[in-house]
Amino acid sequence: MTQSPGARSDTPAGLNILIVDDSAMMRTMIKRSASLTGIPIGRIFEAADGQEALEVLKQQHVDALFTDINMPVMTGIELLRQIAGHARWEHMVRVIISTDGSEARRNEAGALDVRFYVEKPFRPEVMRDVLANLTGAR
Amino acid sequence: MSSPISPVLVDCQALVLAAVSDVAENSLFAFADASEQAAFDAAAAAPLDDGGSTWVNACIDFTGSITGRFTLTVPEPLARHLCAAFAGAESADEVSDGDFLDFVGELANMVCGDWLTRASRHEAFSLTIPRVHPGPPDNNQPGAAAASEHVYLSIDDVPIRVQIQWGGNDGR
Repeated sequence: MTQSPGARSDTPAGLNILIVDDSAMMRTMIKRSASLTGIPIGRIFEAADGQEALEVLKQQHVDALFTDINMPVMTGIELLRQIAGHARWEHMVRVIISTDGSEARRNEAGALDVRFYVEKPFRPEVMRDVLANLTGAR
Repeated sequence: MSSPISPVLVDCQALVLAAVSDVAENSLFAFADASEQAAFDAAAAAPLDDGGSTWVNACIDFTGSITGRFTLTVPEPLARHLCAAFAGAESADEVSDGDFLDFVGELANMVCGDWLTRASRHEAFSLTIPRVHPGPPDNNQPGAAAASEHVYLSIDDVPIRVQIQWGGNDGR
């Protein structure tokens, strides 16, 4: 099945999420945490940096973006700046998952429409709380 | 002679221990505690055929109001065990070498970021991508204006070390 950019996925029952982190192990851990929540997940896309994430976003429908900040090529903050203000991604919930929990970074993220800010390390229950909130808030 | 260490980092040992404990307990199902240099040195010096192990180091440079290099040194068997726990794998044998090195870098990233957030909650720091290399424990050579601090810890009773080398720029 060919999907047009921005079209709804073929798994409308669950949230489509995009996980952006330069650590493949961290992406795996986030995926595993998401799958353990019991909350319906549609498709899970992955990207190793902000640039890769942009390419995915142009091709796929994503309900929720989970992004790290500190990554090569394009950081999570740069990614959020790139998509800010675009109607196409207006619906998409932005979540940061980062080791940087400073107030300065939180404020920066807040100005870029980030709804949730998760500090690494996190327990799987945190992912459950975030996803439950997203499904309730959609 | 004045210390090059920022006042917010006076309690560096306790903050690093808190960061390692946070990561160990929340992501690795492990327990961290303070340890002694003698325990680390003995483990590092032990021959491979007499209870010794290979080691792996992960370095991150950080920049902000304080600047420096953070190096995490762990024995490879412990790191592989923690990697398996992180990945939800049944055993360390299930984890590829590439994923193992990726994990060690992420482990250092989590500890360094956690420590810096504890050290200075108000400001953001820039961190480099972790550089991971297997080999004997790194012993950073102090630069012209640098000082270093070693924090000796254990995870699940296995000695590890965090080495912080304060940078010599005017960001301190």
